[in-house]
Amino acid sequence: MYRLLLILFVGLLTACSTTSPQLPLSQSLLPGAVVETVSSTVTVSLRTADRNLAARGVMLYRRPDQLRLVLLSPFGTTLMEAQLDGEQLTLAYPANGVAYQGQINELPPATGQRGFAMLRWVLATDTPPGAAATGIVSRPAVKGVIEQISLQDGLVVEKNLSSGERVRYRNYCSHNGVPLAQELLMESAEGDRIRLTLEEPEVNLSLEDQAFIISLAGLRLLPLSQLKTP
Amino acid sequence: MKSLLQLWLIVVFVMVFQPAQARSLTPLEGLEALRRSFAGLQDFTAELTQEKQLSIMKKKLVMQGTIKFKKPDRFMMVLDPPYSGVVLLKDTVLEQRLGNSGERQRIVLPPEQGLGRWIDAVAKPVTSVPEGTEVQAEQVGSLTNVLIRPAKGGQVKELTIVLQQDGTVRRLELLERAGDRTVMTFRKTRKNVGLSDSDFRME
Repeated sequence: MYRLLLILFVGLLTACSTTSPQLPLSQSLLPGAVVETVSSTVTVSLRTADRNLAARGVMLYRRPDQLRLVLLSPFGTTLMEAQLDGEQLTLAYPANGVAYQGQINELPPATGQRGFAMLRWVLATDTPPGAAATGIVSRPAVKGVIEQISLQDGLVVEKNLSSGERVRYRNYCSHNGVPLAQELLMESAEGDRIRLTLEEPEVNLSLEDQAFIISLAGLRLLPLSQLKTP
Repeated sequence: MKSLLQLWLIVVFVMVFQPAQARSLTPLEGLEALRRSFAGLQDFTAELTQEKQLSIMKKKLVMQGTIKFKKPDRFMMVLDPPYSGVVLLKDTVLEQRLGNSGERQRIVLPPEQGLGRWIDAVAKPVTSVPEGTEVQAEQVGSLTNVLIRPAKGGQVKELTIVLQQDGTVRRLELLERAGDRTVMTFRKTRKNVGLSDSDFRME
């Protein structure tokens, strides 16, 4: 189920977190400023009907669709790594000496496919063009699904899909004028809940291409379609 | 007289500042040193610094906190902000709370991964080096350094343990095959302080 955790993004900056989960931002924002890159330590927790897991790790993101996530054990060893580059997903499990690679749509259904398919949707927090600063916007998403976007003071605070998925963006902070939600709460259509918080994020710094490549040395590489539910 | 004084000063300088000589130990002596360090131990507490150098991050992830251990199977780690968290292991039951969310997670490990089993294994006399495992050990002053390279194929490439003269662990270093490194340094270690099960609770 750690795979499902990968759909999480965005989190909590201690310096910005308050008892209030939402706005207003204490710092001013630059008009049109968007998140291009994020580098941050993260905590990720997953609550499903039969599981309740959490891990701390490190996450890198580069707009529009590059992600690298490393989840660590309490003693610092790597539990799993994930790399997303467009539609290609690589998952590595060093303790098992195995890695899986393939297109997102090759993920077996029971292993979080829906979550990965939603990744771009989760990460897209740009305000819809022409939308009012505060209000709700509905528009078609993919495959006939309707997307409902809730805005507050010009920031996306919640998105819902008519297919049942929901993501909430909380604890927005300004990083040199760029708004970033420090906490993301997501619910799948099946009721699984995922929370991701950022700890000390760095926004819009230059990230090297190499940082988005998983070392597969010594790992047995298998097709993503063979990924098994842990 | 002056030259004699100079000579004496040089001798003193060399004696004081000469690095401690390393004395090689056999692999079995190294493993036995590890076993002995646990043999007389009932419990301990220590302050911990955990440094994680990930290949994808330029800066180190440095966590500070405290740890507690009690035989046969209790372990607790409390991390300070900004990476706050609590990890509590009672044999096969791992509970943890990360960050400020207050959410508590509970995972039940397979019996063979229980802490009690590991402690039992460590307590057994060492008669041979496990097949495929490489062990290097040396004595440097009052410290014993034991480097273990597990059999190929595992996640950990190297494990280095530094023991103090009294058998307490001063430093533990994990090098993973992917190149990521974790260093745990222990300070203010207190052995056999009489911890009870009530000291291992998450509030």
